[in-house]
Amino acid sequence: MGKVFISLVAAFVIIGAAIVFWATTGTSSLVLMPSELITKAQAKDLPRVRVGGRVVDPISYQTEPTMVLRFSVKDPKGSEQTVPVVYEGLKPDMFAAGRDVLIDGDFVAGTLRAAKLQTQCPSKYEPAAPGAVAEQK
Amino acid sequence: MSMWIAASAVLAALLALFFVKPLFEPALAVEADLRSGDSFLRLVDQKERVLRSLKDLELDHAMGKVGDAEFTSARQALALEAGRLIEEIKRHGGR
Amino acid sequence: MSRQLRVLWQNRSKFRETSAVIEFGHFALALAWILALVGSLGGIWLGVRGRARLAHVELLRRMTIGVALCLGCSLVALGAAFVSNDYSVQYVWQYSNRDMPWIYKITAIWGGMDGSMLLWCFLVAAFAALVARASLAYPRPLAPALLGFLNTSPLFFTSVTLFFTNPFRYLKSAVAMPDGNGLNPLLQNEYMAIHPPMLYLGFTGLAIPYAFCMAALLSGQLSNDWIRLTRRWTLIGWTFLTAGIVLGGHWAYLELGWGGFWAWDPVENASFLPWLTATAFLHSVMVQERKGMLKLWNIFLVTLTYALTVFGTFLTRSGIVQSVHAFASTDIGWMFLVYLAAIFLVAAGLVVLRRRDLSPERTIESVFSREAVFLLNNLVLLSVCFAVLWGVMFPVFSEAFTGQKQTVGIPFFNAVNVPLFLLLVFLMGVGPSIAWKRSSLSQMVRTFAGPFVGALVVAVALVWAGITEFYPVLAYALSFFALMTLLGELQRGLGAQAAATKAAALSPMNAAALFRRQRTKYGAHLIHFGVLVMTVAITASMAHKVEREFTLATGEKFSIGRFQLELQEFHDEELKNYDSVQAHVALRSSQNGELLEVMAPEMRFYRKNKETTTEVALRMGQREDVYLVLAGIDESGTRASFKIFINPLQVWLWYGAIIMVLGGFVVALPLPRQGAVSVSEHGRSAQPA
Repeated sequence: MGKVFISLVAAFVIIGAAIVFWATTGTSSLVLMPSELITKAQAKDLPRVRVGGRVVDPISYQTEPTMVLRFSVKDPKGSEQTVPVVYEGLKPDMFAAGRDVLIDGDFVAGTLRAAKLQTQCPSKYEPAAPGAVAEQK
Repeated sequence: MSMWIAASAVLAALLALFFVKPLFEPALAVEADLRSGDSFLRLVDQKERVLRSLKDLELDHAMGKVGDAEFTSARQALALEAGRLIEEIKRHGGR
Repeated sequence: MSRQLRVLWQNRSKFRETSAVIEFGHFALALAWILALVGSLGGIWLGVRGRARLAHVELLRRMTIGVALCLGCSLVALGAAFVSNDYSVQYVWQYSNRDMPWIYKITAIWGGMDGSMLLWCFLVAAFAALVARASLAYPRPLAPALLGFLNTSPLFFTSVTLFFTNPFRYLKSAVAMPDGNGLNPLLQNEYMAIHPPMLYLGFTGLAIPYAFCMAALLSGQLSNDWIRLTRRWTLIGWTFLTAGIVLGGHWAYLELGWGGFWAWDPVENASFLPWLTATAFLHSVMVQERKGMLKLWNIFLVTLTYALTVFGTFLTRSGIVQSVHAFASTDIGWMFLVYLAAIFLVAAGLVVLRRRDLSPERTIESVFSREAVFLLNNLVLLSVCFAVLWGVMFPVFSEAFTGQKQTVGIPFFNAVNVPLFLLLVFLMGVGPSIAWKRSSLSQMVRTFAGPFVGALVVAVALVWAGITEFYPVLAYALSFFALMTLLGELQRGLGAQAAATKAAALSPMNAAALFRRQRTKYGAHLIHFGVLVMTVAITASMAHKVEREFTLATGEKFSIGRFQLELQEFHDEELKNYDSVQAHVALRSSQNGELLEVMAPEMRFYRKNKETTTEVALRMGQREDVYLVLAGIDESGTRASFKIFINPLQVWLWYGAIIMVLGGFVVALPLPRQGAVSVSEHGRSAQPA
């Protein structure tokens, strides 16, 4: 192996690792279930969380003057504790009570302010049966 | 019930025929040694590589990526190496 | 024990009416498994032994083809079960119903895990059979080991299919099912017919290079032959994978209604990872062909590429990472982990065995050489690969090391990958135009000064025009730089060709002659050009996308950019599964009021599960896409809310991808005579760039 080769590889590994580390610490968010979020936050604010939960009624969706979607989520299994969610944006496809969703956002004053809301896309690997949403865990 | 057995049997039989046929061909009864003259092949390989480098060099020169002086010296070096390799291959009784 | 078996057997005949096609398909699958087992063990054994009767090699070859034939029968049988509405089969019941048009019954074959695994088996076996068909032309000592390793991939995937995700299982129900469950409406889409098979063709195609590589190591045939053959197959897999990935993005863009095409979702990343390493290999292999360097590195890349295709399957079927695609978590994950370990162990063992043949014949002499640029390109591609892999696995790592699960999202991937991609675009401009071995300063100035100044001018002009963000300006400028060097290379090529034949440089004859002589090189340039088009399109749609939400009553107007929208009327319709509401919106040019199109975004209310889906209305244009989503209608039924995206230059993303795929086929096809390229022919064949 030539010197050029070794030094190129070494420089790259170091720079690459630094960039990845910096980007990770700046953007990572905690992954929690609704009940875990309540325990973890202890009524305080908790920025940058990802919450996976099951949508429960009541769902309210206003489209004027801006789109605001309000609903609650609970753990897909087990605990019945719910967390209220506010999402300012378009209601995603297949969004309904009983669906599992992924929410990225901040937990502020007891409410989860969603920056991103995704219905768990009923992908090809899930039984298409209505109501029979695949469990994540 | 019997239909699938029939279909499966037909498939299996056809495949079996397909497979056993070569076993009875006399031309294929020969044993081949899978080990080869490693050093010889390596020489052929190196010759190929040198010739290709020579071609690359000429192309780079034609397209103005390599200067005249550099081209002359590099080509000489490559040509010498190619000659050496071809000699050696000849000594091994090859092309 | 025997009593239990007898009870089981009796129950079987009592409960289940066996279906002929299903039993046949099952049998064919089992037969394929046996053949693949014998084929892989036999081939590897002959390879290890180092001597073989020709008849045995021929037998192996035919068995390899037999595996594909059996799996083909199996796949046809499953398709027949779907088309004939055989709902005694669990898989058929789960993914189809009587109302579905027959075409979606066919595509439902890969609508779920079990069937998609069977399709995977068939494709990987079909590729192996194609290679086997031509294997008589390959260097003879390579053949048995090659046939053995070709069969390992089908063996693994048929094992999983046969024993764990068998699509030929009967429904555990005593009563016959009159109708099936039905395929998810989002998947009843023409893209589902083409996107998964294309992606699988890419994934399975990349199993072939690994087989070549391992066979070459085992048989000690580490000449240029295996490199040439491997490159062709890598390129074929790469081209299909490129097409598959972009088709997936196109499907997401049209169907999911969020105005984007790529979300760094684990599923997307799973297909992207092997693409990156395959791309790296396609470049570094050229260095090996010419300089006898990077031998070990290339083996590593081939192995990693194959492992990543298997890892992708593992990722999407094991449920270890959370994704918007909800996967059924299955218990087959461990099999994939074991297989992944085996892939690396076999490669490592064989590398140790042949370590003497793998030492580099030269070293890199200068950073200003094509070798060095290719190496850099490899490092960047692998960095992207590592970063994406890190992002995908971060939830798993963080939970293992800190006990608290954490995740990273789109911001992470963009923060890391955007600068790396821009570096790649820069290298793409430099690589093809720099000389091998060593480039002198004066040559480099001559080649790159023009494009560099051009790029600076573009950057200044952009800033002056009001585009001041750093990355977009850099991206446009670098793309321009790369485009200029690409054109410069073409011009120099035409000049050299013209000088050789005394023809006019710009005559079509001259261009055709140049292209014929160096088909792979200019095919690669075509791919690079496609990448540049895509880079510009992605930059534009990321940096200058406009999103607005608005509400209109009938007759009201809304203006955005150079468009004006007017809500004309609603159109309701009751269909079999859902109620549909379309809003008819006139799209006019705001300059002269000319009617461009009546757009009809749609909402669908599925009665059965009270879900709504939206159907996007899209007007594709050369300058921008108008992407309109109907978000809701108020109770009075007269006012509707919309979300609109103006995506500039979006359509060029798809054009760029088409150019890339075309370029891929230009390089990979037509195949020169089957098998190894002879030395004399090789002397004339073009070199890729």
